[in-house]
Amino acid sequence: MSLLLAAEEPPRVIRQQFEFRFTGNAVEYFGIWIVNLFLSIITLGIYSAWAKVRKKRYFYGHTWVADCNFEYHGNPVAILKGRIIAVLALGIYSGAGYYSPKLAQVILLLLVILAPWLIVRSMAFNAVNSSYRQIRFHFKAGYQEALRAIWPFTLVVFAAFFMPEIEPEQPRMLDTDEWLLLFAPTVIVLCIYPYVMGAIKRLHISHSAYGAAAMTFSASIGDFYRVYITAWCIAAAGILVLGLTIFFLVLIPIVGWLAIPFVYILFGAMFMGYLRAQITNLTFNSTVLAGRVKFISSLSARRLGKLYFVNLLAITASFGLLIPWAVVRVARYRAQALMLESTVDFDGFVSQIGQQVSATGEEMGEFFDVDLSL
Amino acid sequence: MSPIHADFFDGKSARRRQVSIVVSDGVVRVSGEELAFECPLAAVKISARMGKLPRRIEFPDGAVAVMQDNDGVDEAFAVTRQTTLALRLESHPVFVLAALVLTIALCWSGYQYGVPWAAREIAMRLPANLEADLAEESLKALDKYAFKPSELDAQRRQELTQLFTGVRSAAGQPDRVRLEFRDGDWIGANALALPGGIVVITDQLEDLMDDDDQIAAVLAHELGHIQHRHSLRHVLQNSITGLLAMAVYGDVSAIAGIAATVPTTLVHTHYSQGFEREADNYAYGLLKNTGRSPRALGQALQALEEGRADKDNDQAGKDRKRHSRDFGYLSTHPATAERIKAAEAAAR
Repeated sequence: MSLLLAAEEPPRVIRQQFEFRFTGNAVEYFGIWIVNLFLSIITLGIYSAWAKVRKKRYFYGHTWVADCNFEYHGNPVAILKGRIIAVLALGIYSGAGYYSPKLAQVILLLLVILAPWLIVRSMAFNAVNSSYRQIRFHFKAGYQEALRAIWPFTLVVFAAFFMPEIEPEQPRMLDTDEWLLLFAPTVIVLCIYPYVMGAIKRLHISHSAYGAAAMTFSASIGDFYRVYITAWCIAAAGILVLGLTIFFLVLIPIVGWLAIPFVYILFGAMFMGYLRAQITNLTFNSTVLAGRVKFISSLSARRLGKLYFVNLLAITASFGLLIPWAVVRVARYRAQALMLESTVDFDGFVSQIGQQVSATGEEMGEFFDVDLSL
Repeated sequence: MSPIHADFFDGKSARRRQVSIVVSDGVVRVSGEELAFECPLAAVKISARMGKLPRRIEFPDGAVAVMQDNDGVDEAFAVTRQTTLALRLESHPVFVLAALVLTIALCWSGYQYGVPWAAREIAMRLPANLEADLAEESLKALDKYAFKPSELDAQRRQELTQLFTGVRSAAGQPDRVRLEFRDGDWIGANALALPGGIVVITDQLEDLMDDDDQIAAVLAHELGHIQHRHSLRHVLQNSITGLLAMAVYGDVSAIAGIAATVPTTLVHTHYSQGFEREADNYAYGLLKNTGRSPRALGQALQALEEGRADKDNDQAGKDRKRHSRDFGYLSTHPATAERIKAAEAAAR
């Protein structure tokens, strides 16, 4: 435990910092991962729900702060139910796509209508099944709150559904307004994306609680726009450099050609590294627990990008066998860059946080998990 | 027996208390900061061992003790090795290795046999007219972007249509399977089988073939694609491998998605080669049934190869050819020489 007393007076204002630590290791996790994979394959995917719980238990349990670790309590059967529903939905959707594209579109619309509900269910499931010091986390928000976060997406999908199709009978140059119509969806999605991402983070954190202690979120939607716009400017410059590099590499037979995928992967990894680092930092640094405990995340975009680059190469070259190693490396770095800062005596403060008593039983019992990452 | 050191949480607040735990005579005794109680051993729940993960002991009232000393816990609580299958597997290097080998073997055989088998079973069970609309749509698209109207005269068309009808009825394929003529334009000499049962041959192909037996051989090959429903199976195989890759690689989220496309590309190539061989084999049988020699297919392939070589006679063409040989394993058709040899063997 690192305990830093702030130099300045008055003496009653203290500042304690606790570093997060990830203690899992790649060799150990490889065993868990390969057994998970093997059992999932031979059970035709049914075991994957149990595999997910084992994986989460491993990663939560090896994440420490202030000498205590986290714990995952998810029930595999609930996860299995969620997965069966997801697979059925996907099957119906693609089946419908083969018979009648119109029907598939209707199903897609239904999914969009259900999306806010799926989001809150998934967040609530994850929160209530996570604990620290045997006190559970909570998430409480309804359909309306979630819809308020993602409404631009909902609107775009509905608009696209009723948009006229451009399909000229003969190949010809498009008119100016048709060009605008063609690019409009991309531009609109780019415009609303930061809003939706920021609003989802805000929804998630400002409706979460650790036991009876609520969390607050101070980042504004504008902060998210700043991050995304910077990222896109970097990407635009990067694409220019990428294009030039590839143009020259094409001129060098064999060696240059073989280098092209690497350049491409490097670009993707650095971009992803930048975006993930900035968004994670912004999110954690804007989160406060019960007005007393802050988070400090200081991920470096460059280090995360490098991590992703090496991971991608390793995963590709090993046909996936180095996935455990890659995942552990990222978890370790993310924990290493994260800190807790308390303006009160943390142990004393946290000891007073009680379990949230309201209806935990009903919350935990009948859930099925909706795995949105699938 | 020495007491086990543990962090104790009562489940009502996040307060951490250091305690020591002793187990004897079927009773768990917990003592520490402002705390001392007993609990029957049978009433506590001990979390399964997983690597070096700290163990948790849950008490009936929702309290929990967390311990780092895994071996100590096993000994004190007399946890025998009667644990879950997953645990037993992942805690022994031998089993981990076995799981690794078996997983690779399963993935490999799934890719080699499982996916093609599943795709074939599904494709053969789907009604045939499902694809009919698809064929018309594909032809329309090709007319728009690639083909021009054929310049063959009516008489030649009729001859070829008759030839086609003969081969088709020998194959026992339905009447809706029909032949279309097009000017290949930049596609050049080629023949295609569209999913619902339209065979297209280009004027350039007709021009390149030495005799009608060779054209019949090409048509028989394309009918093979239709008979075995290769385009549907192709779509199915791609979606099945995509789904499986997602399941295997999904662990690392989006970033691995990119990495996962690499093996999928190789898979796709491998399957296409299998389809060509299957269509070739079908053609040999059909050629024999219509009183022709399978050698005709070999000759047709030879002519196509030479035709391409002529077209490639400029320097750029030679470069292209050299490179296509360098990357031969990535080409979707098996090496032509190999196929010609196979045709010769079938003729014997």
